[in-house]
Amino acid sequence: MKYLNKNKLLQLLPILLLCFVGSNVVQAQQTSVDELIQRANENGIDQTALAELRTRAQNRGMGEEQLFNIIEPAVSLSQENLPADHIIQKALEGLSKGVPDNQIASVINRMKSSTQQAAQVVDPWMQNPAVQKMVERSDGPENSQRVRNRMIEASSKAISQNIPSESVNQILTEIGDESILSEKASSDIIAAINILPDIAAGGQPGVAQAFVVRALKGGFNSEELLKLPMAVNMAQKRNQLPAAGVLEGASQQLQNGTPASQVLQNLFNGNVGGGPPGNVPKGLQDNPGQGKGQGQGQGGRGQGRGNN
Amino acid sequence: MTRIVLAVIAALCSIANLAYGQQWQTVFYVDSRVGYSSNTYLNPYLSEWDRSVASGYGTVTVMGQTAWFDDKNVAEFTAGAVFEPVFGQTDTWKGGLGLINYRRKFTDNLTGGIETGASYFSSSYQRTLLWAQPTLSWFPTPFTNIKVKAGTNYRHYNDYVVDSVAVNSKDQTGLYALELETWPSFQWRLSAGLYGSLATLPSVGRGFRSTGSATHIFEDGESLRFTVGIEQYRNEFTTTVPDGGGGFPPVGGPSGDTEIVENTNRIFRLGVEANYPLNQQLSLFLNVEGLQYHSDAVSDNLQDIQVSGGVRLTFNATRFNNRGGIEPDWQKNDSRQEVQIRYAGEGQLYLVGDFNNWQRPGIPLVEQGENRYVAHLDLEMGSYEYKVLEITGGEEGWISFSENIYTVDDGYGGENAMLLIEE
Repeated sequence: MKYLNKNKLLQLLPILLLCFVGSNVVQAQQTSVDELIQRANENGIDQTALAELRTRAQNRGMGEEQLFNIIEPAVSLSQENLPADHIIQKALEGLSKGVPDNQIASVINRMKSSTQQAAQVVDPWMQNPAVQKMVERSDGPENSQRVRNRMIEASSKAISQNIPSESVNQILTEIGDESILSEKASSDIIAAINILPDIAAGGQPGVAQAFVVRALKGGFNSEELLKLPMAVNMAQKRNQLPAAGVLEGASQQLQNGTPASQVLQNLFNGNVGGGPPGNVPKGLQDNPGQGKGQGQGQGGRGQGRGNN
Repeated sequence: MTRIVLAVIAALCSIANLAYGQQWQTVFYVDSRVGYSSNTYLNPYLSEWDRSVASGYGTVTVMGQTAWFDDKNVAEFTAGAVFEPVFGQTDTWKGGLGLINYRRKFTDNLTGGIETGASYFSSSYQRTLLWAQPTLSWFPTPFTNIKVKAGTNYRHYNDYVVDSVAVNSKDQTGLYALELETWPSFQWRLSAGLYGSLATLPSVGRGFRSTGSATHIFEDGESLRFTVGIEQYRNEFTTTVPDGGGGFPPVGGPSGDTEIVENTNRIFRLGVEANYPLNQQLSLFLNVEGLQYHSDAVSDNLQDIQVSGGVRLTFNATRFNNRGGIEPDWQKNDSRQEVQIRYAGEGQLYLVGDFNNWQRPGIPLVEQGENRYVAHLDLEMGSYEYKVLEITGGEEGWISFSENIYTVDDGYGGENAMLLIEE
């Protein structure tokens, strides 16, 4: 019996060990998630959103390890003094839409990386005195950190959608002049960065950059900027110059993006004349030197023949 | 006239309805103006050299265009009717035109296609034009387009009076066009064009029409358009020499001989047009254009002028496509954000997004009036992503947005609408 018991004990030992280790791991994960949330709290992450995330993750049956993997990037960013609430929001969105845990974690990790890259571009730009003046004017000096975080979030979204951080940097540099920024609000710049991936859908970040910079220099506000991708897309689909469509799409005075009316506008501007230009006008062709309705000219009358 | 207008509208609408689910755009214009012209050549539709009708005139034009397009192909159908009484004259110009253009994208920078059209105008004489021009367009940048066109043009005149004799005539000519359009900024549009007969090539100077324009677009949609143009047409004609040609040494034959004389006509044009939109549908415009004509055959330069102004009504019959989707309309209302959505479905609608931590079912939209749903939110400055959830009989589903709504990639393979709140 003793032998059997000893034998059985020996056989059960690994299982017991596993159970012990397992329970410790669970305990450790539990502790880690608690610790993470504590650290998140200390670093200013929205506690309501975080609590909501934990509750919904548990209701859905998400493991502590997966939850840890989702919260950790946000906490890590907040410890680097970078915005992190957008990461928690993205996780909540994933849960709301029933996205698989692994996919949520993957998107969150990508966002963490792009947020860090974005900060490297945005932080030096925010030091520009012209930018600081703009922020003070449009948002108030007390909101400087908030504007910086929104800028980083917008740039992060662009970078995570394959806009090179160099492109974002170049745009910010090009519009960093006081003469431009003195007429802009931070929301205009944020909108411009937000729309970059949509204009670059054709795989040409350089083109998107050109559109955005011209639009900002041209006085487009944030509302008009948000219409830019749609107008560019529509004009490109209609094989027309996007600029005309952009103007119509962005203008407050005209219906949303109607490049068709630009074509008709050309007709009204006399570009058709009832037919294509290029022919000798009939009145001149038949009455050279005089035109229909004129008196006799020099050289007598003759049979005319236009050079056409 | 009324029948023509109704037919045009019906035709364009029926074309747009042929393929529900495709991408269509349809727009109608009604343009009404009064003006004065000392030469019909300055009339934007007629372009007939006639200085005998220096008079005031009125014009009513109804024009519509519908365009079908997918990722590679575009087809545009345009039709219009023109009614133009000339004051103080018995003549009234009536007519219309129709265009069918097709373009296909070969690469991101290169498109090709064909432009075809027909027009008919009638007053004391009748003119019919038919044309077809294959086109090639190159977009070296998204702000510049260079277009080459070459094709055939058929022209037919009935009862056209030459030297008090009404004659019928027709001709067919090959025409070319070279056009450039560029946008140095979103405020300036520059364009230039060179047009002529293929028969004159390579000696362009034998006959051409060139145009240039610069349009400045102001912030609220007002525009000023400046135009210049130079035209040159050479004619050869035979003339009877009464006394052997004159001059020294004597040229030509004895009295009664004929000789071929080459005559060059040059026309310089200058114009300006102002456009002032009153709202999304109505705009006012004023157009002034002048020309100076010079010919080897006359000693004096001739000047003509055209002044016209009026009102233009624009009506978008379709907006982008027929694929549907909702269009949330956000307005600031007493420091709160009000959103209105028109939706004809059966279920209850909810807003779900960054503003409520993506909590389902979300913020309910209350039905106020037929198919009109409203919700109010207190939102701080910032950008918010959101979706609209519909619950019908316990079934939940996201409602897609119209293409008029700005959406962003959500990273999970879907898309969210975006809302920017400013201070």
